Amino acid sequence: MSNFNLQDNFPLLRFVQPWSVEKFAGNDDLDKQVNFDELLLDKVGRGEIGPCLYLNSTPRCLVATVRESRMPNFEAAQQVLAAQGWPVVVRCTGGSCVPQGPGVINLAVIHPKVKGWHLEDSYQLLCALLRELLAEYGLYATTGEVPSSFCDGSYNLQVGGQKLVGTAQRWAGGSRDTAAVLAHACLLVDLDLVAATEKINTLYSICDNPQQFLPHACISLRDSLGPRTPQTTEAFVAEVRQRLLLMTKEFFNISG
Amino acid sequence: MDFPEEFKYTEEHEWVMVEEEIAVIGISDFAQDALGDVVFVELPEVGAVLEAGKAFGVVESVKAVSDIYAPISGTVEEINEDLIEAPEIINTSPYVDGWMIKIRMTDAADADALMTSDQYQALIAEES
Repeated sequence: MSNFNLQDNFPLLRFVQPWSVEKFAGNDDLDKQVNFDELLLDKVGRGEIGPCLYLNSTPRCLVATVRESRMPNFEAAQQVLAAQGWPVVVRCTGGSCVPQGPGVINLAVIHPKVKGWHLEDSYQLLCALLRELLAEYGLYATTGEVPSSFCDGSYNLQVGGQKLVGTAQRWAGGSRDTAAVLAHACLLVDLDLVAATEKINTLYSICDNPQQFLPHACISLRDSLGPRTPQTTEAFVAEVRQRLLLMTKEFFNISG
Repeated sequence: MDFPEEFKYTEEHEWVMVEEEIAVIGISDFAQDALGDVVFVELPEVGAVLEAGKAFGVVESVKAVSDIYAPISGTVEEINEDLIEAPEIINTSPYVDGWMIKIRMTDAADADALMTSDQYQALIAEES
């Protein structure tokens, strides 16, 4: 058993209902897959379910924010990128456009808002969890901005100055008794970052946004580990996902 | 942090200034400070009918996205167009230039149920 646990590190997150791991049980609708954690946020806010986690990977796509969806020519960009095999889905959790796909693992932590819980607390929780996972692979990750990376922010996890994990949040309900928090992290496990970044740059170009991103500002977990990861993408992602699942279950005291 | 006495407040961190049948609505200094730099605001269209307690828009900052809730039921009379191009006004002037919408209230008495400045400050003291 690890000393890394919820009660010692984040004592505010104590709820009557136990934490659970939720699974997407819908069809192949990409939009529903990407936005399933928002549905969980709504359910947690209404008290239908207790605090929960959601781990997922989606088919290859770009996930943009509502703000980006208001850029000029966004719909035209969606059509162009979809024709290139990169459909663009809109999600309402802030940040900016990120690539998704079988080589990306998302971790969402969704819970009732508790008094005294701040935005920074959620980021520290996510970063603590992912930092612990990366430590299992022998990587020392720090938080901070990585200029020229897509979806840059203060709570990226980076290794050697290259971004490996991005984070974002959505809060609903202010300080109501039914308020809830969705915090999610996006771990770049094994993907072609040159191709993915080029597609985000294409989106921005078509939308007349001069901002462009550099692929080497980010790094995948596979590339961070070098020749130590001989498995296929599918096997490697499955192995990382299983480690993350076991670690989070222990951290949140989830049985089964 | 500033909480004008003449305004009313909600537990979702909106402020309301009532001018006869019109309510001017924005987010509080506490909310903008917690969110950090605001980069995007989505507001309803003029003529939209709002129901008290229901989300009418979103505010997106560099840290997070948060819903904005209608403190009072009514019909949108005007939105602050300046926020579309310059959402950062919410950070620099949350109570004056950073107002979001003006609604014609269905029942002006609804504003009486909202929190006073003192009550709101007590609420956020628990959050700090």
